[in-house]
Amino acid sequence: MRISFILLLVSSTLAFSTDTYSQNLKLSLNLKKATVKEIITAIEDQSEFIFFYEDKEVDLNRQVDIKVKNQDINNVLDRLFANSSNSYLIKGRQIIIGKKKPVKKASTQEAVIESLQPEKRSVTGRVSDENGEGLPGVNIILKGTSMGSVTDIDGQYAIEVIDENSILIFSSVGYMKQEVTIGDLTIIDIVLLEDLTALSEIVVTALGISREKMSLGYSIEKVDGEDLNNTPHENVLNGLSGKVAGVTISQMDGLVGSSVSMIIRGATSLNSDNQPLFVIDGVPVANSLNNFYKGADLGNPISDINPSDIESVSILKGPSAAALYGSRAGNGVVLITTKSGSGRKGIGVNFNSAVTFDVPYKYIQYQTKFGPGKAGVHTFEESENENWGPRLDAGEMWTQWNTNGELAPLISYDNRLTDFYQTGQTFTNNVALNGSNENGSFRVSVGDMRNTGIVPNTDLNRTSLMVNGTYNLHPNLKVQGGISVVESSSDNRPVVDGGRNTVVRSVYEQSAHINILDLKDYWVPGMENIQQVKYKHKQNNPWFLAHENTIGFHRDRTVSKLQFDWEIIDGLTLMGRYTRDSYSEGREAKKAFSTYGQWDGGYNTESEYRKESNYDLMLSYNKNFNEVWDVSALVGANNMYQYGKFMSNEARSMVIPDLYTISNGLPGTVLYGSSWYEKTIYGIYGMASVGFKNMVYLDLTARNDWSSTLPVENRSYFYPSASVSVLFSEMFTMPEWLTFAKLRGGIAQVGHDVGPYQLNQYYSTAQDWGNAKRMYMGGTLKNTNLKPEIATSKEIGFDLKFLKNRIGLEATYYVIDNENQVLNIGLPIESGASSKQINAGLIQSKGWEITLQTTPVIAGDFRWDLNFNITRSRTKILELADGISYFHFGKEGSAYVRTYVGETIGDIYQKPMLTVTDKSSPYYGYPIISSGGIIQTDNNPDHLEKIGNFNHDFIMGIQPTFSYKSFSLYANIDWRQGGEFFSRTMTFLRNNGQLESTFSGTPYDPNRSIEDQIREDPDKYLGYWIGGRTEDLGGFSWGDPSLGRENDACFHPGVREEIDGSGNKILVENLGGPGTVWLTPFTANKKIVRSLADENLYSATYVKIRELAFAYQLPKPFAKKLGLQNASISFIAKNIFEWTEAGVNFDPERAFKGGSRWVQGIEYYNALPWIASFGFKLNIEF
Amino acid sequence: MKKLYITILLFVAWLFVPLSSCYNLDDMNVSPNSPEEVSSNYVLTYVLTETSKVYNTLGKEADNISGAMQYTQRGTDFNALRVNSYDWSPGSWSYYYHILRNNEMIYEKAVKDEHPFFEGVSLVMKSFIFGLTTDLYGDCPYSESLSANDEIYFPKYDEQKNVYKGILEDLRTASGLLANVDAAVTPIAPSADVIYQGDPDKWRRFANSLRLRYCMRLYNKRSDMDAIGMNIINEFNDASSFVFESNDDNAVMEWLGITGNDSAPGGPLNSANPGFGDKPCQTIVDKLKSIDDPRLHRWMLPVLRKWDDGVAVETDYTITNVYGESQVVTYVPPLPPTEDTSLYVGLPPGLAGSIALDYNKGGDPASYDSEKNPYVSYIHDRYREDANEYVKVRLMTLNEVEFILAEAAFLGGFNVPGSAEDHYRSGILASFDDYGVENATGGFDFDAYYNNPDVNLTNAPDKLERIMEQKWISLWMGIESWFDWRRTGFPDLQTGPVTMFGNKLPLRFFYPSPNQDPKYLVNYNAAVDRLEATPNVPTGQSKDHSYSKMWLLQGTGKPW
Repeated sequence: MRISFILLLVSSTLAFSTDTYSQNLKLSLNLKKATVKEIITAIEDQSEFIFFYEDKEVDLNRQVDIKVKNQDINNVLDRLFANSSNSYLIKGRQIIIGKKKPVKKASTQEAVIESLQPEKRSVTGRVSDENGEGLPGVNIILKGTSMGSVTDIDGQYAIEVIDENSILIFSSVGYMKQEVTIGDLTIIDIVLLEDLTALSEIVVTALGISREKMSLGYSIEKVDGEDLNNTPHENVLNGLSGKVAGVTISQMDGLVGSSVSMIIRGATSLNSDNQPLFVIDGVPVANSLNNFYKGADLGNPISDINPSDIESVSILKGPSAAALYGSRAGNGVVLITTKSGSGRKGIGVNFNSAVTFDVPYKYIQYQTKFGPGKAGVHTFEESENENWGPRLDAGEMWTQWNTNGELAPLISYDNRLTDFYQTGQTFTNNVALNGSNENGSFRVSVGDMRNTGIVPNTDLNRTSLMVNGTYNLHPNLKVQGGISVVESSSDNRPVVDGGRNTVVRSVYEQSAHINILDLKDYWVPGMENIQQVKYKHKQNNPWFLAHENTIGFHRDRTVSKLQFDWEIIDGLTLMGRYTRDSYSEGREAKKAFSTYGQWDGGYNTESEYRKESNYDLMLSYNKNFNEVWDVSALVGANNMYQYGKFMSNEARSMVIPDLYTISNGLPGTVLYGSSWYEKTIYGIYGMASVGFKNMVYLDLTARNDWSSTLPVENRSYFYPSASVSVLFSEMFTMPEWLTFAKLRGGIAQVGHDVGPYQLNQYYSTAQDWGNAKRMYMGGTLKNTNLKPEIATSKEIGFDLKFLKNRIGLEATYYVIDNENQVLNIGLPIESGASSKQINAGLIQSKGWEITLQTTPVIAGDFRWDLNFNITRSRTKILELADGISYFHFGKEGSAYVRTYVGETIGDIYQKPMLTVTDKSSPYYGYPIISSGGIIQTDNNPDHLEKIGNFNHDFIMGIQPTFSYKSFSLYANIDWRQGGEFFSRTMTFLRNNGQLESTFSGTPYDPNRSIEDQIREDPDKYLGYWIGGRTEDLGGFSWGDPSLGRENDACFHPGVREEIDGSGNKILVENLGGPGTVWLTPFTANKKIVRSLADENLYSATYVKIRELAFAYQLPKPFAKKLGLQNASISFIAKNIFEWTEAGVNFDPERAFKGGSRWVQGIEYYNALPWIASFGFKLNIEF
Repeated sequence: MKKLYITILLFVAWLFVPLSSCYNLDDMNVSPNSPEEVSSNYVLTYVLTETSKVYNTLGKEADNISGAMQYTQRGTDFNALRVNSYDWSPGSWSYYYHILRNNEMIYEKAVKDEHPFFEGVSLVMKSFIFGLTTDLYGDCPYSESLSANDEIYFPKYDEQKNVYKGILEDLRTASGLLANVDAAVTPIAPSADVIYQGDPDKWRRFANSLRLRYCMRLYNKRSDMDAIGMNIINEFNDASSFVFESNDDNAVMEWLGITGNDSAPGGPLNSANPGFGDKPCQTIVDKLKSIDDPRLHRWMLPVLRKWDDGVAVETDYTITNVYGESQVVTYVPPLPPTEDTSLYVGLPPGLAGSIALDYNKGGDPASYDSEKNPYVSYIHDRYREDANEYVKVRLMTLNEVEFILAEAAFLGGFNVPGSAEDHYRSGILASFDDYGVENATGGFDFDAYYNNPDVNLTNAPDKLERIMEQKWISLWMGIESWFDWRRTGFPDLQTGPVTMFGNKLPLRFFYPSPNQDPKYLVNYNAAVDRLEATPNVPTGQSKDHSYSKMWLLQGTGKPW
């Protein structure tokens, strides 16, 4: 590429200035005992001349002394080739060296011309592409010589040839080579055809083996580091979001540093977080989702990777791709290749710097018309979290928390979210130094990321240092090593959940009559560190929580590797590798005095150490036979060892305020724990791959593992895989529009062991009772006969390219059968166990993924690329253990997430409303209202109703890129269609009267009979409440003035059962007429929104613009003047737009519960504001 | 070149070492953190403390049963529907079975090790927890329960009579085992036994006292029990010879008050929100006031603001109760004449939350914390402490035994030494002793108390009602009185203005939301089918309802 670029420059100048260049240029050289080659190089360096020659004709190692000053080129070359067998010819800026003919003795110049051009013939012509466009920079070489030429900007060329048997070779990157015998032609116009196979991608596959993508029988997706870093991400997974078909990425709470889930081809395991295995440069690294500590998400460990260090990411989606990785590859493998120093001569420096601002911009809209209370507008109950109390801004006078017992008007403030949350900032800086020579290469990279969050006093820092290098000890022995050290830390991570001690809930539950800024000085004067300022007992001051009850961590991670590759004989290589990933994480949580529920504060500190090491020894063989058979095979052995250690200490109460040590714990309140574990797996594996004439490829793999965690008899397990790739476009002549066609298919198994100590029952220690030790047996029945899990995957797909790669289409359909899953299956506790470890079931995931890459427009310097990827996946439970017929995932409020055998994972259920089921009754379908006036749920377990499913119908990522000259505009759009989620945040905001929609029940016309209106349009009213907070808002009269209430009576429409005089049950209307049982607005609303999950079930459809980057690349010549190789600046934006079908300002991406178990489709106060990020990024290479 | 080969050799060797020198895969998977076998002492402490806690929780102030028995009511909107209006919903019995599983571990090990003391104690605890379960719910998994190890995952719900029969048999066995324990040979560590400090005699008294409790529970169904081979009268008589004889015999667990784990539920360690929302109910307050009962002052506080005709302006008085505890009460001149002018004001049962929180406030325009209406009495401060000498978990006490004996003597047919009145008096005295009435400043004249015509048994128009009424008082915030009420209809409690399912008190707990497995539902549905829906169960609703009658109540005409 670089060569052709230079050639292009040369040839274009050639067209304008013929021989004047050689006359005007003056050279100065002073070299002693230099070889001809060195002198040629020196001339090339000083000038724009390019030399062409054929190695065998020129003695490049001949040593010459040369000393010239301001001489023209002829003079210099004459000296150089004096007394040699060579001669030269200058053509524009090309210098062709040939062999002297020893015959004639004349002037040197003549002799050369004679020798090179016996017939003194020249050929001219034009090289064009299939569209007739002139191709610049095409290399033209006279076969068998070093003589050649290059086309100019219009595709024109001229070349001197020897005779009619001369053959011209036309070549250019991306086009098929063409050879033409000259014959007697003097003008030769050539059309070059695009070389489509040459465009095929090299991808990194299992065990780090680079393969041509076309040879693979399974779906593998590659994302370049550049595409990951279009906008800066603190977690590499966010950079993948929306870009890869078949992959679902969701960030836990939307905050910088929170965990990011990556699920490939659907969740196939019921008992794990379904995260793929991450392998960085051959080092398997730990990652899991449940890195929660005291409610704070410390981020999944994969976020320790500095995205700037990433060269590319390969995603091995199915077991076919991943089978060689063994046990842990069932959920796919993400191979991360970091940048290395190779591929560039000399030393290069890369610096990039980015700053982004995270701006909270959209909130769930709360109301500011009514103050705290539950009883109604007539009573001010400042201590309540609910807001069904008196009118604000209406001149009502009440004593309040800060009015010293005096009456003061109730005033509203609408600043509690906007004045609390702040703009977050992230600064990212990276410097990398790399270099290489023929013996090796190295790269050193230093990165630093600093973030302050949108929640006050939260932060996240990451410093990374990475060194890697390769050295060729011998032409046949290469050693490489690398180490990366990452420190991630935070003084305080926000807690985003529904607990009383979380900022999110605390801010939301402030009443509208509170100015949040009045709480900002959060210590009571004179009682600093002892008593927080707050206006109600039940809630903490959010500023206090943010600043005093901090949750910090410090994680040190080291990933290291040492590897040698010894090419024993040609094609046979022995590779040995040791890799190690370890981290230690220290955590600390403080609770200050006066914390709700922990009045004397508390302190917890934990430390965890985890390490995994892998030894691999692998012998591989590659050979191409007669350009027909391409064979590679390998055998290998692996040992994996994991070790973990955990310690925790907690003081549940403190003695001295603001002193955070365990020894400051109140006597008797200190808890402690410690544990450690280890496990190991031995594996042997083999792979054979055979390719036939670039047309058909067959891959076979097999692996056997022995795991320490399984019973002796089941310890060893074997799993094979096979895949085929057939390139029809190589086998048959394809229509012109079909450039490339490949069909692929594969079948594979992956075995999976279990965690350590899963076989036997153990006693656990409970908290001491005074001086008595307490021990108990937990509810999980262990299983001494556990077998390894086996996932079998089948996939079939095709890769097509149309219209000379302007359109690329890849599609895959897959089926994964996960058998023998080790499930912690819920049992009725009455059996004596709450769950049991079993090998059971058949969980089947099916889905398809489609990638469409297009370039709709190329017009001059303008180019528009547009990529799509679409994913759909569904997982069904086909079998569970004998006698077990459903699997329960979780429950939130009145929503149950569970799946029955034969049904799809993601189903959400609720108890339905109890209604009149007698079809002959005039009240058929009417809710049966209790004598207390309230709707009832149907408690019959057989009547449970399915109300939704959290799976999206499909997920689509769209990435348009526009480029014009040095400018480019990139966008990443994520569209997730369909599915539902249950929001308990909305349930509580409604329950608490925080939303304007809670002012009134279902609207009605107050001038007409409400009973008639219900009878006329029952669907509108039944199952909802009717009434309002005041008469204006639809409240009814209580009919009892002694209550001292406004007309704020409400009711649940339906029928009540009463017993008549003769003891029969009769239905009585509860439709707002006489005899209606009236409710307060609070009760009427609450009993609807909290009893029925479908009241708060929302569409999960949304469209997000995740990334937007506008980049300007400094033009090369200009950059060169500044001494730079490359420089670019981009303006970036993330998440600046989101549309949700639900329209409640709740982001459906947040609809899941984290913590000890990850449950999708339900959420509770995972409701931070929507955050848009803006910033810019500078990249400089020199 | 030589150097190169040495290098390669070293690399290969270095890699082969770990690959060839195997870890021992068998040893590696033995947990270094947790034992597979432990002394039953540790498990027993767990079982006793956790049982006590769950039992206590049921009767904890303002929970469902305390509200139904009108010891307490909710004075706020929060939980008012549930407590005051009986809007009950399915709870959970998981913890009972969790404890039972651990108790079973003790039992099995005791049988294996031939340790009659642990065997007897574990049978008592098994009976206690299963007794509680069936009392609350009716039919429940029993004979097939706790058999997951035998791959019985969906145990059937046993008919209630068989559960009671098993309980009584186990208790009889336990009594026999405990009578023959030599604590020197087969001891239980005193520190581990948080109830009886390793005293087998007291465990035997507890076993027999429980037999009295369950025999009396089954009195109305004695012929059904007889039909399945369990003679209630004989069983009762057999047990009554070795029961509680002093409050020192009581099955009681004291709170330590060190951590949340070992502290009373109402104290600051466990209750972030102190229980001011729970008010003493008017029913019991008025009863205690009407008979001038000294226990009133142990259990409740005077109002902070008292309506009073005698003052012209708000005046503070220091009020001292019979135990010498003082409190400042503000006397407020009367506004409307409808308010209660007493020093002790209970909250009437069954008020809607929005009404309850303003109860007796008159026209006072000040805004108070919604849980702290100063015109209604609070439960005594001791219930908001982490530990207090009068606040403990009373699994069973002497006064209950005495009242059972009084009832048995009254009913006749039992072999009870002493008259109903003897036991009735002893019951009241036992309760007074338990609550330290003798510590009243200036002493306490029991005879004067007893001679009150509303206390004295002799003058009672309905002697059973009188016995049950005093038993109800003595069982303050306990759950036994609910079971007694179901059986006898006494005390004759009336619902308030707002009830969720008609003007009756609830009869049972909803079953926990059943496991949805069809195999489980078969058993569950069979049990639900055996329930008898009263008219208060809405049509179309499952019979698994708080207003359905379990076998124990079916056909007895009780409580209504």
